[in-house]
Amino acid sequence: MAVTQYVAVRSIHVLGSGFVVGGSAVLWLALRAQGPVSVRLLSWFEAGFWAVLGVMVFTGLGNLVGFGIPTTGVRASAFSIKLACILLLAAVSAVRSLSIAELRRRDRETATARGLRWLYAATTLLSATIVPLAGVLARG
Amino acid sequence: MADRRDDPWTRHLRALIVGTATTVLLVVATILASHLDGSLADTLPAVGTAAATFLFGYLWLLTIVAAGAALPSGVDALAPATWLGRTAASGAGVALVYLTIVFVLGFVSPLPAPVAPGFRSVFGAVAVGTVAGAVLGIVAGAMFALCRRAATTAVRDTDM
Repeated sequence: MAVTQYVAVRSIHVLGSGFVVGGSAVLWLALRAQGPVSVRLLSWFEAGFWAVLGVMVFTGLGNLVGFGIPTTGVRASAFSIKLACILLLAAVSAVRSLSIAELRRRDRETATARGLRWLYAATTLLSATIVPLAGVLARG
Repeated sequence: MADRRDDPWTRHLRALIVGTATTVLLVVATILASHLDGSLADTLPAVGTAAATFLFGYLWLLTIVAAGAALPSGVDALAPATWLGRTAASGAGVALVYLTIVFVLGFVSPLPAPVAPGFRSVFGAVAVGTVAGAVLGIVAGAMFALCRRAATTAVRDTDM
């Protein structure tokens, strides 16, 4: 029972990180290489992003208890940096998602804005930075 | 532009964005602060999975509902003071409902009660929490006003 619960929590956390890193990277590349991207698609990603991020914060706390909360050393430092990166990711993502809501409010069908491309790039880079920190936190 | 009405999907999306971002920022900032002062290693393992699911899920749900109430259609037309008043009221409302329910359930659950089960201690904790919620609501409201301004700037060249 306990094994099943831990496997479920870790699986959800890893799948969520795949969605966040992969989804933002694909949309960044699409905005950069393809040009206009459907605002409808972007708004579905934003809804999924926030649902997944909320679940990941919760499962992350479960993982933290499962792996042991670091108090000193490299793991404790990695944990502090990871939390700071998550705060930054949430702030950048709030701006990015509100940009998509703004495009919807203006009844735009597609998005090409350069600022939006940078926001998806920042999301990809920040979330990709968090992944190795999570590795250090789990394994030392 | 300011008085344009949002469709229901956009309103729900905004409530999800603002509610979840507030929850994530609040929870992660609290975890970081308690990690830095060394208390996290004692407090977090003491909260069981079921209690943690309830505490987090209930806060998340309440914050999304409060964000939906604080963000009317045509929110951009609101004066800054009106906007911050709405977010302060939402923050106070979330804290009041959340703490009341958590304390009541804390008394009837088999876990140790979070505060002594007396009228003055419970009322005092809820009152202090409600004031703190209002302050957090103002901080969140100011932050999302800045985020909205940055978002408008980010998609500015869409109109060109």
